[in-house]
Amino acid sequence: MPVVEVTKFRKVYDGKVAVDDMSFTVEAGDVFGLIGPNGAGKTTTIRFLATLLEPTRGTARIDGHSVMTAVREVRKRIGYLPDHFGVYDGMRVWEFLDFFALAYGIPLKRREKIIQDVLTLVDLGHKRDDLVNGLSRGTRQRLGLAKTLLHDPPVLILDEPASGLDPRARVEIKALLRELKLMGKTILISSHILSDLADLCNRVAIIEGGKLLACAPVEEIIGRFRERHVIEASVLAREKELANRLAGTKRVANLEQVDGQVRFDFAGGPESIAALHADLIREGYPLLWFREVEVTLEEAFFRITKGEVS
Amino acid sequence: MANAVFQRELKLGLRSQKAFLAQVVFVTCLALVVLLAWPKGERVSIQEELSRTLFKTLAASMFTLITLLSPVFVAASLTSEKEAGTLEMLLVSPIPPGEIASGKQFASVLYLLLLVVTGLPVLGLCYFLGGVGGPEVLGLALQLIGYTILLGGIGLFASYVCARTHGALVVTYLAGIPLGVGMVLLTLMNKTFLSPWTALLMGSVELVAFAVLFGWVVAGLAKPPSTADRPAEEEKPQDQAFIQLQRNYFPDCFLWPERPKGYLPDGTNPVYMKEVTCEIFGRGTGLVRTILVGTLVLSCAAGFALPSNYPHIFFGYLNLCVILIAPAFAANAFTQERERGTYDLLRTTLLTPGEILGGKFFAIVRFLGVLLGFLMVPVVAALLSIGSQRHLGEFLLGLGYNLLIVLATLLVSTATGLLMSLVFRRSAGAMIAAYAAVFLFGVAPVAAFAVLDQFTTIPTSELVSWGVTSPFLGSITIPGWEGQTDFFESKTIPSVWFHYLVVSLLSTAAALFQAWIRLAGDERRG
Repeated sequence: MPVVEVTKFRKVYDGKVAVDDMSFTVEAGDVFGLIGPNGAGKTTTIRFLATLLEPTRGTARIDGHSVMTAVREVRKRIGYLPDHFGVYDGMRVWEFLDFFALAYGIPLKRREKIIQDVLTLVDLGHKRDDLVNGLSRGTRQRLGLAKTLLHDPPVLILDEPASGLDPRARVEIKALLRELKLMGKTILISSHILSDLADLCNRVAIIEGGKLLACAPVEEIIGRFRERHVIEASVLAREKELANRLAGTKRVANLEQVDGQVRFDFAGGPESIAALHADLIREGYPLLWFREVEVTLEEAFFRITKGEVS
Repeated sequence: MANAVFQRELKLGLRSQKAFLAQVVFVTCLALVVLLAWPKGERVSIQEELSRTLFKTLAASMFTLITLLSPVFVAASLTSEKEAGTLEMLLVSPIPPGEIASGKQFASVLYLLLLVVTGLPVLGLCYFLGGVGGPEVLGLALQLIGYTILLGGIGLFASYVCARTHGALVVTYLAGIPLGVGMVLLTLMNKTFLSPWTALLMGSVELVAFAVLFGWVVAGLAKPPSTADRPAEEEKPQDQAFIQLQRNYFPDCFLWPERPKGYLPDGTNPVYMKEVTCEIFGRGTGLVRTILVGTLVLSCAAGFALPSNYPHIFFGYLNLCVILIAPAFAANAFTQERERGTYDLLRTTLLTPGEILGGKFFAIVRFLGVLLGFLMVPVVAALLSIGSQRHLGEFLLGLGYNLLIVLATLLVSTATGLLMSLVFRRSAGAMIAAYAAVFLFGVAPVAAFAVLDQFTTIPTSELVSWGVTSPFLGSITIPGWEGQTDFFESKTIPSVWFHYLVVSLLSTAAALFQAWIRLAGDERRG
């Protein structure tokens, strides 16, 4: 049985459709990525799952409990980290966690150990007595993650956890999320930093304009583009001529010239690519390089949102 | 080159809904005063006298309305930029700081002067009655202009000093209301106050005060302090100006309790504990100390200046303090959570709406109760000197009833503030609405009473009995003060104080229930 189940979710704000007819499931232990540009409907979907939003239509269940009718049961099972969250000025790190631990009903005899454990997990033990309003953004984000882990929820719902962080902080957050994945948590994470999600998630949903365009394991989504190979070629001073030559080739599509390079999709296997390479050299093109570009999640995302693959 | 800030501010300001609403409120209130006070069939000689009284009443109303409305327009001038993160962009632009400050300042002051101008035709009605000449109108216009400019300067200064609009509004109201009270009293009691020469003299003083405040802001904007890289530290008592608050000393510990040494005990309400130990003083003690100093000074002044044969006036002062201070703390209780992004964190915990609301309500009531205790000291000292001359039992009973009224005002003002904090999404809007509500129900009946008592023949006791929502009118019906039967022109004094207690407790319950519904509804609205 899926841990998270969204069925025909639709949300309309003041006549504007934010999310339309969205359905997907997340299995236990999955790290599920919600990918989409700003305004795609990621936060709306996440807030719906976090029991913070009334849908215009549709339902969702977390661990078998409806997010609309069994709010308290759902809240026991989720750890929610919003995209932008604040802290209470004047509180220290441990006091901030103590406040939320009590708000989650964790008894005093367990609270001290839990707070110590989550601080160690997010590597904030040395900041225990710092004022929360003095923390850097990256540290604050780790504190937010610590807060979501206090009541040991099986499902983590994280909205853009790496947004606005510097590269080092992003790496640290990614490492932390990997650790949580190993601990068996089901993680639903939204981001528009696709490289972060590619090596973290096992499944992704691509949404744009409130619509779900694709929902599948990362490998499967990337695999959809493997039938065509993306080739990049650079030639000394004759790129226009090369482009004209390739434009007349049957298996070439989506040809474009960028910064003196020629980039195109090639429908054919490795032998055909090698044959084309040999032909171009034989025809006297002074090739600087001729290589196949690996299809990444980012590439797949752009192609799917362009409507090339449905 | 035209001042770009001025142009933008004026255009956006005049387009805003609040500009339209303020104009409607301003003209409607003045028109209501005229409607109530307009003479009905008296002789010309009486009309002249009435005309002069009407003119003064209208002038006092204009000062009151300008005092109440001006913070709404001036206090957010710089804080709105700070909150939106655009002040630094403005400061690094080629626009000089003086132009930024003057653009902000003149746009809001110009709008307030527009309000004054819209009120002048209503004022002109007094001409039809006679008895009011051109010099008085000119004097009033000059007084209003000078006063408006000064209030604009105070608002700009508060907006420069405070980080958020909420704080700037509180500071502007706290500074503006005593000034406004002074202007109203001078208008009604001083015969030469509305003469052009007095107005010119007052105007010069006001302009100098404005120039000092304006210059301070411009100099500050030219050298903005850099606090971005400073690590957060807990405020130290030695850094506090005027008075020091030390959370581990009596009696400060009641106002600002020490943090719990260890983890929060089981069974406590975490929201209450957070509010009491951290939230109210989250950004330092500055706002609370400003309020404390301001009200203590006024409290001492009231103790000396108010007539001692009317002890209820002292409680009127305490009620006014509650009405002024409670919305300042209650109206941002939830909007602040929204603005800094902790509202969703709180809502996704296992705390019920009742626990969240109750925690905030009782924390604010506790804080304000202690604050009132501080303010009560000079008042009680003044009352004891009166009490020694009276029958002790009667005196203590009156004291008890009055304290109940103050407590009821505290509860209803706090509940109203909390409700507005859930109705509005931003602190500034919530606070303005909360002040509007408590003034409408608490203070406006007193103004209506004063006008009707002056201009109609309705018996005083009947007029007072209509003011069941006003603690001030309630307080004067508590038995036991000298000359009470003469004041009411009747042996039977209406029990407005009791009705007020009932109405305010019911209103508190209704406001809290409505707030609970909203909080529970927010769970799903998103």
